[in-house]
Amino acid sequence: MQVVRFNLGAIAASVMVCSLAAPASADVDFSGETIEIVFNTGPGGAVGLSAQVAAQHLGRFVPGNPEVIAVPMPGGALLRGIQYVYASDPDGLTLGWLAWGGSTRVLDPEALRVPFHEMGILGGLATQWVTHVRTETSTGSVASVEDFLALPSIRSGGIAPNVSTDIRTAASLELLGIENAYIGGHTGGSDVLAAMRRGEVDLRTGTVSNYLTTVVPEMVETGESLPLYYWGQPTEGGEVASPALDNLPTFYDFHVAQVGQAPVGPTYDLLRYLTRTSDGLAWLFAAPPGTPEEIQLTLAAAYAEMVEDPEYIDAITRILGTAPEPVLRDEAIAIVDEVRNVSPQILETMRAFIDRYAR
Amino acid sequence: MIDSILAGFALIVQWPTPLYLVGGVLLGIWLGAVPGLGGVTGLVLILPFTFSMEPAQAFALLLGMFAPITTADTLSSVLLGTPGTAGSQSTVLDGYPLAQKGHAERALGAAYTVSAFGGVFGGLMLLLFLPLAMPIIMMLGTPDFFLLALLGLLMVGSVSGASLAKGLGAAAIGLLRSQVGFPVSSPTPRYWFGEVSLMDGVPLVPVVLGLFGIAEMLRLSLRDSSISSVPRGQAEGGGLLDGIKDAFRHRWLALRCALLGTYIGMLPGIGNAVADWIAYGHAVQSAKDKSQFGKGDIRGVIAPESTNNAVVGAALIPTLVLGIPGTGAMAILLGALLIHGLTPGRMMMTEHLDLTVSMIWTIVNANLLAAGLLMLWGRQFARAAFISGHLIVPAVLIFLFMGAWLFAADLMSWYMLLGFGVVGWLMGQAGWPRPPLVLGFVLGKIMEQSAVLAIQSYDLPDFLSRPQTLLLAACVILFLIYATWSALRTAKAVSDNPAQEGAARNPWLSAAFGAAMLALFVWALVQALDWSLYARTMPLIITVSGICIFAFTTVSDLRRAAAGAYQGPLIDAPWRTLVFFGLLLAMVLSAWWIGQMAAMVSFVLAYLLFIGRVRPLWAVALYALGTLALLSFVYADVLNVRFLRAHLW
Repeated sequence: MQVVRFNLGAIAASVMVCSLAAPASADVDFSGETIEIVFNTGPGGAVGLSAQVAAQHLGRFVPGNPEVIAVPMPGGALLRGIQYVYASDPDGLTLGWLAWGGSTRVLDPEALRVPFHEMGILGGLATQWVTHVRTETSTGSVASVEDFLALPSIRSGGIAPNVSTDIRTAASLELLGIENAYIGGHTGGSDVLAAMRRGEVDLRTGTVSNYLTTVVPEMVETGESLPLYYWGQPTEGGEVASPALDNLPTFYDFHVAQVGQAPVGPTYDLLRYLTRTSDGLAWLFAAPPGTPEEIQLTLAAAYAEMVEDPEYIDAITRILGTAPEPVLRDEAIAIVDEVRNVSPQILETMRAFIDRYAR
Repeated sequence: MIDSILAGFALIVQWPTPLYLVGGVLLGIWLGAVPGLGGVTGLVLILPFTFSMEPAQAFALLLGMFAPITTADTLSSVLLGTPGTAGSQSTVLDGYPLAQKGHAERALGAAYTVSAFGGVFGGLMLLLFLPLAMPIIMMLGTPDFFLLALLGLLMVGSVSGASLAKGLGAAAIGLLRSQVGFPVSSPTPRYWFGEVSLMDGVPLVPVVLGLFGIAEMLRLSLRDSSISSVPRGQAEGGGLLDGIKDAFRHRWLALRCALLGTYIGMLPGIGNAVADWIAYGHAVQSAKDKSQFGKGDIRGVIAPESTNNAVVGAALIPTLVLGIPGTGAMAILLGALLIHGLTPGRMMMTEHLDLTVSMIWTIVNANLLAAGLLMLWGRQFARAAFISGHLIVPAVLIFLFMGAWLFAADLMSWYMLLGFGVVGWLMGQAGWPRPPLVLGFVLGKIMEQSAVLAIQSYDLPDFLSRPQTLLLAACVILFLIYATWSALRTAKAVSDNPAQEGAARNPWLSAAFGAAMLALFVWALVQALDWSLYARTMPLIITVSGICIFAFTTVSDLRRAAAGAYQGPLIDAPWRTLVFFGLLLAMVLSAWWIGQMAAMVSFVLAYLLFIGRVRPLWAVALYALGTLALLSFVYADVLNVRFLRAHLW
């Protein structure tokens, strides 16, 4: 099969040359301009809606109060929008609000990889994922965590074996010693939820937003589902607890409480890596490579101001179901660098999980 | 409940909510009438304006816009032979021939009547089924989705015209197209040629707009006349009132199709693009006299138009009750709920029941208002069927290309649109029906996904213990027997209309098309051999079936050719066709160099001057200026379309 190479390096080089040749403006002012925030999913859904909310509020914090619009650019397994932003003029007028998926894209063929570190990183948002199980599964009833751990196997539902959440679900089940009868191929999170409600899958991992707004009132409170754990941001010797999920344990705490020891080994290393890089920076806010530093700093500062704004927080909280977890520029750059420098052992473990569940 | 119904009504009559409702309906009519726009574009456009509104006002605007789109899209299907949206694909099959007979008003009158009925019916079903929705939706699982899609695919006989074998072959092409991109549960894309735009599969919009829209515009251009071949004064029995009478005459068909739309709408992930075809197939199969289908049978308009409006209300049920959006548009509406601090689920049936009921009122009123307005304007719209085709063609082509660009703003979408336009024209010339291709394309992905998920989720005893699965399987078997018998009987009747889908054409060209497809399918088979089990199973079934079908049709065509069965030309008007596609290709290729707007305006000028030979010249200049204004104002300013800029200077 012929592969048309997407030569990001060449595009970046030409873009950078152009930007170096242009005289740098001392005062960044976007008066009268329109900034496009391109998001790489279809409209609707958390990515699109959060991009629209950002577009609605960001202009107030950018010098010159430009108009800001959100533009969907789905397709290409989320790559089309990323490539579009990457190749856009580095003038600060085209920005990306990207479900970047960098943590697993490191396994993509060379021609499809995106050098995110070359982009002008401005910030992002973090998220969390909650794993919950049906109380009536194909292999038995689950009234308690103990019942869950006693199951010989569980049908976990997912989208594709190379999706970060599906890999982590598989890794978590392996660490807990439960056989994962993976059912992949659903079109999205709500499709897996529908399958779970029909009894076609027993276990699912959904966003904290989906968990709080739909799963808790519709499935947990009605006794249809039992929440298990969420992956907290990794720290030295554990995982950080989330205030939004104070009734649930992190996976680390869950493992310690149920298995009697801390999770360790390459599988847990993979879990930590994916949680740090996928959840720690779920959506990346970035400018094209070669965007002048002062524009980057101006836009990053505007973003940092916006995420503290009560109006923005109120609007985004309605979508996420919980207060947003903003990631500022330096932290986002650090996470992008972690992905770039991921260890070969983690890559190998990740590849093994993908191969195991690919059908 | 009565209190909630009244409270919901009070919400939508409270000023300024009626204003938003009317505004939404007007916007929806425009979005539906222009091919390539549609509901998702509209929802994206207006969602940000609703952030600061009260929830009832916001949903009056959103649903007021969304509900009538499947009413207004009939205009394009009937008058232009191009589906206005994915929900009115099959309306083209009989709606456009009716317009060609001078019966556009009749088709529109019938369509608006049953659209209003279907929309109101779907809304009332939403009200009725809210408390019962959960068990009804949950009753059908992935094995049943597969069987339902298979049942839809069996409609291929109903939309194949005179040749069942060619219909099956066209369906196989559609099925193979549906295999492009990531397979179910495997991380390696199929048939994607390293092209990022194809990783998620071939998009539906360029396929449908190309196959039908471009091919029909070429056909209209070559005719050098209006859409209607009958002068306006001579089109007897083709008025709006005749259409309304037709709708009442076929009320039971409309009712059955509205019920069908309601149930299909409730199932997440199926949607209008499928319901539309199933309804058309049902109309054909249930008719005693099938001879006029494809040539302008009003029942071929009534069935899909009743269904697609019913789908809209019903699709809200899983979104509101379960928080499961079945389509992209419903995902946006779900987002709108969240933005307004509303949680889908039981709360929508308890605490926010008045708001839920206000949505139903909105759907009901929007459908009635849209149908009323379109009836009022119907006569004016129908006049389009009697004006020179050369004034229609360039404008519609601009809409088609902008529709593809709106869907995916890169040149690949234009290449695909033009490519499918050529395929659509070639199929028409070679006597291969196009609707089965779309049917296979729409259903292929659903069939594969539901089959793979069903195999993973269920064991054989599970299948056998599901009464609903057994019932659907029995329906499939019975329908297969009936459809085969019915299609064979229909195939015996020689088509007397050369413009009808699948009408007998030059067998040499048909054989060449079949042979080319045979080669394509052999290549696709060889590619699939190395893939993982689930990734290759569906392509293997499709390619092996396709190879058998194309081998059969090629041999049959060669025999017919050798027997001298057809005396017509190989291709109609080859030079003018070449100029038509040449101009379009020049527009696509020059867009990168001279900028997209300049390329499109240049195309319009070139078409009017050299193909249409429109005079006087000031009228041509005015037309081109109008095109520029449309692109600059409507697309660039209102819809925020990013045009390709010039790279030559």
